[in-house]
Amino acid sequence: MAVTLVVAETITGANVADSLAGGSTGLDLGQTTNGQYSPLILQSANSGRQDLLIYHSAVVDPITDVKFYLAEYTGIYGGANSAAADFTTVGNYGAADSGSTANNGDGFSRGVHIDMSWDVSVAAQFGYSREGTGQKRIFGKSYSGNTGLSLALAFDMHVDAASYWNGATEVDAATPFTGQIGKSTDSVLGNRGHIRNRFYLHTGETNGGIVQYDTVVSFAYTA
Amino acid sequence: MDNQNYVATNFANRWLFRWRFDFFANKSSRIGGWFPATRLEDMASTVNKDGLAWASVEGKHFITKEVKVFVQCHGEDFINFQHLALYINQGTRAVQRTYGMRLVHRYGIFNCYETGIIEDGTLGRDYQYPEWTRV
Repeated sequence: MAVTLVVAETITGANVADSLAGGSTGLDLGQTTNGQYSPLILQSANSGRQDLLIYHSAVVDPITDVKFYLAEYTGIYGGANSAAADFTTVGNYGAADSGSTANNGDGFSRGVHIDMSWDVSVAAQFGYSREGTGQKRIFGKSYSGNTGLSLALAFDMHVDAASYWNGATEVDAATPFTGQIGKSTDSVLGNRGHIRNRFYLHTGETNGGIVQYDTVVSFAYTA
Repeated sequence: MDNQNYVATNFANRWLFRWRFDFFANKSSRIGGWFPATRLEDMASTVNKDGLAWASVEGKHFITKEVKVFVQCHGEDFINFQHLALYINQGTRAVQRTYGMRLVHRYGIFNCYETGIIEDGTLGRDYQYPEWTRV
């Protein structure tokens, strides 16, 4: 059967459907200012994030090769510039990121960051040391040539993003694999991909306005 | 790896893909649709592979409707077919589409992309999940 993917803000939620500028729906990460990030609760505590939970309808096998990349916005554009320019902007942000503090305390972080560990602590989430393990990725920044800006250069879903929803609690998958999300009953691979998302702005940013882009999930499933 | 029995060709433009099983005598070929099956019984994974001679990925050109075999492997080496898919939360609704088909065989994988490009990959750790037993 055709496999349907769901990307939700909660563990059993429906597809994200925030109202966006321009009239489309999707994921709204909110508003941020120079030297901060969004979503933000308390910067000094490194708190605030957008959880994204990925699950699917496969009944034969797990889905594999789950990867993430950014692309030019395909909704009805309502930003401050153009879809093409925004995609370039976001990619350039990532490429120019020189931050070293998870909470943007140094003001050098910018662009779209993801942390692919479902149960990392608030204090440790999005920490730059996690780039070395592959848990954290910044779209536009090069990791051995992978920038997360195209299908060919997409970021693998880290093994630590795999969790299992048992109907009452989210727990660790028993033996997860990179880029795999199991069927609904699969406690071994897990039945959720759980990532965290933020948008950072560095202290020297001069342009304001809404930036829009697509986040694409690529995957493979048994025919 | 001995690749002499596998066929790989590059085509330009856009292609749709479907799976195909050809059997030895007394059994009709089974061919999938150009789009992912919506019923379990129409999936390649549910086809009885006894007597399987060849497993193939066929492509149909978007414009000319020409149909060609992109890649194939011996039945004894076949593991499974996979759709390659994209999910985009694309304004007003989340959309999903396929961008290719993969043939997983005993010695590796073939990825057939909608652009007509074929990628000859090596079977990796990700494909050793126990449910994917050889057929």
